[in-house]
Amino acid sequence: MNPFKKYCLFLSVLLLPALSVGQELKPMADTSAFVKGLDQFSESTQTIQGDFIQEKKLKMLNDKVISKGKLYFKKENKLRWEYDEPFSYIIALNNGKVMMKDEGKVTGYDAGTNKLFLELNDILITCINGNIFRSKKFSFRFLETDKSNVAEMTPLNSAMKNFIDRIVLYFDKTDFTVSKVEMMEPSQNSTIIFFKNKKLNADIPEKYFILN
Amino acid sequence: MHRFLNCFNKLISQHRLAEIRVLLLFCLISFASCTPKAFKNLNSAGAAFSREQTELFRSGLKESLVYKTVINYKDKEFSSLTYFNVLNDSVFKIILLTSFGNTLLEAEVSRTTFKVNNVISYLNRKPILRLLENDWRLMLAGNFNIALPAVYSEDELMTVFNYTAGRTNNLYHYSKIDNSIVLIESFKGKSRKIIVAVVSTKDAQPEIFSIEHPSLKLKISMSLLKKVSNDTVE
Repeated sequence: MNPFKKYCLFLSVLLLPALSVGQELKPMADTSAFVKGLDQFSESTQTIQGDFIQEKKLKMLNDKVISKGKLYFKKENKLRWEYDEPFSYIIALNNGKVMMKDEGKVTGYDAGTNKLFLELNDILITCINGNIFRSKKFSFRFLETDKSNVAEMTPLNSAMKNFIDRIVLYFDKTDFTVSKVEMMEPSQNSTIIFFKNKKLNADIPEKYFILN
Repeated sequence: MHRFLNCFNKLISQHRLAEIRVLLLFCLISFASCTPKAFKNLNSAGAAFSREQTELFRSGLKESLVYKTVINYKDKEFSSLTYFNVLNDSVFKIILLTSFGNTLLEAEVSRTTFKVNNVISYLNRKPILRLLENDWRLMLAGNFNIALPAVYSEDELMTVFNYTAGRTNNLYHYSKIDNSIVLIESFKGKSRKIIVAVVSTKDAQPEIFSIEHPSLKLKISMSLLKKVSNDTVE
């Protein structure tokens, strides 16, 4: 091995642990405290709004697709995904009904081809409502990093395994909100959604969840 | 008043240009090929022919093209995203995603093969996959064909090239003004089966275009969103 390669190897061995501090996943030390904290968060939260950035990694093209927008949640089960990029459209879920607005046109949402999306919404709603860990659809593994409590969810249902390999939820340790969701597909494509600028319990008009 | 009229005329002429293009395209689709002349005894495109004249997607693509894709089938409408890229100028990769980003289909098409790497059960049906393959083969025929096409017609604005395979004749309308393909028609016998209409191009690649199957009441409208960025979120 030439001296330069040796130097690079030495440097990477030295720096790698420093780079991964805080990122490293380890088993959660106190799972019951986390579940209790999430229950308390759920009781005190009526609405959440914030920005999201969605990163889709396509293995076959070796490409990343970035989408951006705003997310609104209102108890019990109202969600609005407002995409600004790569093109503008809105998906609203209101008491089990899913509607989509694209270029001013309101249409029903094709649930058959959007199972992953509907599952994600179900997960987000149950996270905020505090029921997520009662779900019988997944097995759970609880982990943590310095900044996040992490729940790794593996589907138990074989139909669901066709489109989800694994979902990993990152909960901010400071306020119990979801800060990141990673979704791995069997095709080895993945979707990561980052939630930022979150506001809790701000007033969100009812009309946000009605598309017409 | 005169200045106002000039401005107005300019504005109108810009709008008109776009309108006229769409109108011409409509006329081409509606009338020009309703009764196609015989495809027999056509002359081969001579030495002046260059491959680009039948390439809808120009070679040398370095980044993926992302299209918003709206599929209209009978009275149903479905939005999705199509990613398109090329490997070695001979294998094209196509990925279809829902607008949320779920993978619907991942396929590779080359001159001899159509390989589906991943498809959701919903779309995993032979007629659907065959239709997708035929559409992409039609659009990529200029990229795949080694043989010279025949010239179906030619005037000072347009050359129409013809690739024949058995009873199928595919016409590529090449605009000499835009230096790009504006229309592709696929005929089986005298019946027109597929129409690819290009409304605009950007950086020599199709920007807004549609693929129509009149007999199936199926229309797929594609509009280029952007080339994929290499930005990272974190």
